[in-house]
Amino acid sequence: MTARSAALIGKSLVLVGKVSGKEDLIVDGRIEGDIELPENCLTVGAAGHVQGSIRAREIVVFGSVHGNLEAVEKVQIRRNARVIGDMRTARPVIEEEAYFKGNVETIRAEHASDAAQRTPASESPQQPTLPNAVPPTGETRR
Amino acid sequence: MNPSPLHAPAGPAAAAGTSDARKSHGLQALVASMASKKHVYVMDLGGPVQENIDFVTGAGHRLYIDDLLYAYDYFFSAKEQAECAFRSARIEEFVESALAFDEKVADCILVWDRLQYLPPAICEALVERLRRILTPDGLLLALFRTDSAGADRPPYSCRILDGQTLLLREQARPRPAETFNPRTIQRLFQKYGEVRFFVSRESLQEVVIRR
Repeated sequence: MTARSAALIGKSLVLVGKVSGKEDLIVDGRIEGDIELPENCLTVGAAGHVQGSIRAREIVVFGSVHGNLEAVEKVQIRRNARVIGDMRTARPVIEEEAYFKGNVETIRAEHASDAAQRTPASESPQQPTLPNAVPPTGETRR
Repeated sequence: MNPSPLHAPAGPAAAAGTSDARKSHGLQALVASMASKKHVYVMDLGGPVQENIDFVTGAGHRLYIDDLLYAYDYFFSAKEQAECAFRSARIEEFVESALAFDEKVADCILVWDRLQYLPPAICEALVERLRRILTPDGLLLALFRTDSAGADRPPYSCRILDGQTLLLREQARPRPAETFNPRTIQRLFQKYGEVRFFVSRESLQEVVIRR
């Protein structure tokens, strides 16, 4: 088996707009927009910042994210990470020295494969059932 | 929100102090209340703890997480905190940013010991907002150390081990703690319908408050 390297958004890079694809991605720079990697792993490095919703097979956050997270397999928020947004995944893991503000919803295993095919987290029809951790300005959560 | 990294908190403090597992009658009361309902919405305002996430979501409940102390540290400048002088407009702004929920949405709120480490004006404003967020028969669980006497104490990281057992672990960073006794706790929650005190070991007071 050969090791597959992930694509990298370097520390000095700023991307504005939607990012989608079929390979693993490491974000050490800044992305302002939604990220769609339904079959792959997205890692936000310690210096990385994402302002937008993320949907991936697995999400690992060492840096900061302001947006909702959806991963069919697992979301890991590691120590010193900062996440403001709702999380929807089969396995939520948040280390205690991380900061997390938002809702946590677990997806049952049988729904995980369906979720991979669903619309993006930001367009999910199920999302409004939970209070949004990142409400539009002036709105309250419900 | 304070944009300056100089004023940003050092992050939720690492759990590094003593730890202690104990039976919790307050937790039992909350769990019993949750068991009788469907689609329970739980707010854990003591920061993320994996055991709590597993316990609440494993029971099929919805969970919201934040840490009131981190939110306070992040929102107010070091100067504001040191002088402990908060304009009412700033307090309202903070409460709105920390707890921007509609009324009567939360069935159960876990504030643990966080209220004890907030200045009285902030604490009172949060308690009033929490009352409005709770459903009519919603419950709030709070812990107060009655031996604080104004000293700096490390807040607890509170872990739900099962429906009746809590593991309390002191975090690394001590903070100034306000002094509470049953009378001042009653006064703090005077607008609520019912305040129940549970005897706990040492100087820890468990309080379950019904909206």
